[in-house]
This record gives sequence, structure tokens and C-alpha cells, in this order.
Amino acid sequence: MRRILVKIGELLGSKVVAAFLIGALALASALGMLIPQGQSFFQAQSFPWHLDFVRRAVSFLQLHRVFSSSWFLFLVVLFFLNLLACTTSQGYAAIKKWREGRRVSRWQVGTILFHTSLLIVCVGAFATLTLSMNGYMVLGVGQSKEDQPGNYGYLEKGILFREHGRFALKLTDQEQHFRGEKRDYTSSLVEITTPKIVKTAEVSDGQPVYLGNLAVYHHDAGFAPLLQVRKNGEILFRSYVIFRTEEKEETVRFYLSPSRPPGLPFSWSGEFYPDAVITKENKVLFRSERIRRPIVVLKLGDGSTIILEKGEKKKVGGYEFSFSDLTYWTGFDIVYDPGRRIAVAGAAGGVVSLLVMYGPGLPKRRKSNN
Amino acid sequence: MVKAQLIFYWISVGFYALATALFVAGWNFKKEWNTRAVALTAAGFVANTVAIGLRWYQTGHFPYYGAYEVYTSYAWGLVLLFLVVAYYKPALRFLGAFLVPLAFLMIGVGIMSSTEVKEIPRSYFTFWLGVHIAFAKLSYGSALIAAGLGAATLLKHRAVRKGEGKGFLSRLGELPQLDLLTYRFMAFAFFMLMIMIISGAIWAMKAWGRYWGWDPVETWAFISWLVYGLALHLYRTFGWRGNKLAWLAIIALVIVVFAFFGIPYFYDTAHEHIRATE
Repeated sequence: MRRILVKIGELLGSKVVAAFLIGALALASALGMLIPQGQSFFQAQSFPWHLDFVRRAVSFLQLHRVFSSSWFLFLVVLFFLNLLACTTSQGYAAIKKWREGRRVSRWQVGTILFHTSLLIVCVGAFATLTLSMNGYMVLGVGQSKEDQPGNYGYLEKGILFREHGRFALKLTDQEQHFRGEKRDYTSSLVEITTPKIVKTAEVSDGQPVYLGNLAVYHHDAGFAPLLQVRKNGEILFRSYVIFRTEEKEETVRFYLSPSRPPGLPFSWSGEFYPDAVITKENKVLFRSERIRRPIVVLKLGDGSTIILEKGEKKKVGGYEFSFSDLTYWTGFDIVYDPGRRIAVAGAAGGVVSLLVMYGPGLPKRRKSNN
Repeated sequence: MVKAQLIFYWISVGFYALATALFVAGWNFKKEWNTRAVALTAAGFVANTVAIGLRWYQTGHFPYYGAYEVYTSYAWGLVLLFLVVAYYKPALRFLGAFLVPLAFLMIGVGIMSSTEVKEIPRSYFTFWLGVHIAFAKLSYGSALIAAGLGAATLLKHRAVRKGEGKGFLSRLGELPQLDLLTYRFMAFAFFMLMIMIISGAIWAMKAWGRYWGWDPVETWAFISWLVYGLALHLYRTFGWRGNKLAWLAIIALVIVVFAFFGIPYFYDTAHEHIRATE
């Protein structure tokens, strides 16, 4: 048994295995790039994917999801163990040399430091893969939501992620910044409340807010007009309705996907215009992204269209529609990633190791005249 | 403003073309001509720098977005690295015959592309982006130099085997020296790629909320880095020298070139500046 363990240890610490694993990782990554990944793999027309056995083989070998496949993970774990074993033996050899009074070269120290940094990066990446969470949450101005699965529009979790309820997020205010008539960017003032800290910070595109392992990013923003529907004096629906923002190159549009609002017997879809003009033919034309003359255009399930200016009421089919107020919303990407800081520390260690290997030498100690 | 840039780019193209001719002549006739060729390259570099500076002034950011900016700035980075190498290692000036025409071609591709100024998302502008771009250029330049040395090694090896080796091949230095230089430039490319990947990951963390996403650009950069890492291990631990190391340097360059310029032709990528090179 001991002999087998020694053999495994030798194999793990082998430089031949190290070279093989580096090459294997490079080849596997190239494979993941050469074979279409995800569902597109099965949709690709240029390959005979219609052949059932090819499909089965691909699924069995997980070639359509190389980077999340069990064999790729196994390769990475082997690489980590090999690196750990090699670095330990390098460190042991260096300490032995030092104890014997021999000179340990900068290159040797730098190499050990570099490999240790890579190990730390691997630990960070593993923590990100298994313990992290990222989701998308929409908040209207003044609204607050807790970190609970139901409050996310989209949520992805690592296999070992367990605990929700770490924080609550509130959108305190939102400001839109313009370059001429075009909206340049939107900044949001958010308040993050954890059991220990309350942090208020501004979030905009490329300017996230960090609190420990938690990071809040700006994703998108838009408008939410207050719509009300009454029938025979009774309020059937009254809510701020989120109109999604769609930006394509130079154009922007704010739209409401077809949906059935709660309490109403019909479905609707629509468009929102922050600043628009209505033509004689009753067409609504987009003018700018600044709030000047906000207009909501609702299309009902029966095909009728209602154009509502802010403060206006209109009756259609026995229902009274009104648009009385307007607020803003921001969509946040929320990332909880305990591996991020570990990986960055490892990367910093890698750069330091370069300085040790290639940087200028330490000044020689001056000999004392005494 | 664009007209002035194009004039300076054409001036640099002219100097680089003359320098290329002199480098090639230097290979075949007089080694001393290499020095004059380096001077011509430096003159071209000045014009190239002025053009880059004008573009920077026009757009408000370092030129890295779209084919026009990407190719011309890579050419600039390549020539800068070559001039530094030529200054500190005069024996390597012969590489100009391989590198300067490449810069010449890259500027050619760049100025034939659209010169329109593209609006860039605000999230792009961070300190880490500057670091990422600078190290991308250094890694590309060093990969080219390593491959150039690899090609020289192959030529020299062939000539030695055939018992030839007169003319410019005799001036390339001995094979072990070429091996060592190839290894050193591959090591340099490895570390420059590493810093490029790290700074890119930090930038992505701030802009996109994740430091790694297996995006084609990221993955091919990672593959390039692994290939250089493998080459260093094979050199130091397994004693790969001569043709094997030379071929490795050339293969690694092919991967780097694909990672930097080929991706938009095959993949959808989140790296918009590269996508704009289509």
C-alpha cells in the first residue's frame, strides 16, 4: 500500500506529468473553442449532428460543454495536485539548500513564488465556481428588496452556494446624465444593508459598488409609468409598470412585452416615449431620451391602441385608462463571489514573482570599515 | 484630422519600406547597413507616433478600437519593442528584415479600413484597460521576435546540416545563442501575456461583473499562455533546443496572431474592440 502511495506521490510530483497536463489543458481549451458550445452545438448545420450516435457520443463525452464537463474539471484538479506536489518539492529543495548554507538563486525563489501564486489563483477560481452566486434584480426608485431567490429576475448559483438573505438592496435615487439629446449613462444611488453594515454608494456602468464579497453592478435602467385602469368607478389595476429598455447601436426603445396584468381580463403590450410628438395621423414619433413630453402607447389584446400623455385619461371599451405619474427603475447584476479576492491575490503574487525573477538586484551590503 | 493622420501613416509606411529594403540588403551584402535600416525604422516610428498621437487627440482615448486603430497601434507597439531590442542587442538587428515589413503591412491593413470614430461604452475607460492594452502589445511584439528567432534557427540549422552557412547565416550567431534568445523572448511573451490576462480579468470584473467567462478572446489568450508555459517547461526541464524549440515559437505565434486578430472571423465575442476589426 505504502509503495503504491509513494508511486502516486512520485507521479503527481513528476515534471513529465506537469508538461503533459499543461499540454492537455491547452488542447482541451482549444477543443472547447473548435467545437460549438451549448445548444448551438446541436443546431450546427455543417456537421452531421442529425446522426443519432454522434449526438449520443457528444453528449456522453460532454463535448458540447467542455469547460463545465467533469473530465475538464478532473484535468484541472490533476493540474492543481501536480502543481502542489511540484511546488512543495521545489520549496523543500530550496529550504534544504539554504540550510546547507548554499545560495538559493532569485530564479529559484521566483519560480516557487510564481507556482504558489498559480495555486492561489486555482483556489480562487474553485471558490468562484462552487461558492458564488450571480443574479439580476430590478428596483424602482424608493423600492427595497431582500436577497431572496424570488426577488431575482435571473439567478445562477455555484453547486456549494447555500445561504441567501445576506443583504437587502434599496434604490434610493436615480440620475440620468446626457450628452446633448442622448442619454450618456445612468447613475443609481443604492443602499446595501447587511446585518452589520449599511453602505450607500453610487453605481453606474463600469462603476460597481463592493461590500466584502458582494458586488453590485449597473445592468440597465428605464422608465416605469404609473398606470391605472378603472371600470364603473372601481380601480381594477394601479401600479408602476416597468417598460424594458432595448438599446441597439444608435437607437433606444422602451417597451412592454405582451402580458396579462393582474386583475384585468385582457392582455396588453406597449411602448414608452420620454419625449415624443403625435402626428395628425395619430402616430407617435420618438424625439429624445429626455423627459419632456412622456407618452405611453398601449396595445390591447383586441387590437385597439391607446395613446396616453402624462396626466391624461382615456376610455376604451368601458375601461378608463390613465397615466398619472412616472418613476425610474434600475436593473442590477448582483454578484457574490468569495473567490474573486483570492484569485486577485494570487495574480498579484504572480506579478511579484516576476519582479523577484527579473527585477533589479538588491543593493550590496556595504562592508563596515571597523 | 484624419487626413493628417493618414499623411503621417504614409510617411511611416515609406520609411518602413525603405528600412525593409536596407535590412534585406544588409542580410545579403553588408551587415553595417542594418544600422542605417534601424535609423530609417526610427524615423518611420516618429511619424507613426505622431499619427497615433493625433488619433488619440481626436478620439480622447488611446487608439485601440476598430481595425484602423487596432492594426496601426499594434504596428507601433511592435516597432517600439524592436527599436528597444535593436538598441540593447545590436546582434538582433537582423530581425528587422522580418518585423519591419510586418509593421508596414499592419499599417497598410489599418489605413485601408474605416477611419470613422466609434462611440465607446463609458465602462471601457479604466486604468486596467490601459495596462491590458500595453501588455497585449508587448506580448505580441515579443511573440513575433521569438518566432523570428525561431525561423532564423531553422534556417541556420538547415545550413549547418548541409555544411553551408556563408553569407548572412554566418552572422546570425551560434545555434545555442539563438536557442537561448528564443527561449528568453518566449519567456518574456509568457509573462507579458500573463499580465495582459490578469489586467484584462480585473478590468472585466469591474465592467462585466466576472473575471473569467471563457469568452473566445479570453480562452485563446489562455491557450497561448499555456503553450508558452509548456515551451518554457520543455526548454528548462526536458532540454528542448534547436528545431523543436524553433517550431514551438512559430506555432505559439500562430496561436497568438489568431487570438489577437482571427477571432472576429469565427466567433461572437464580448470584446467589442476586436469585433470591430471585421
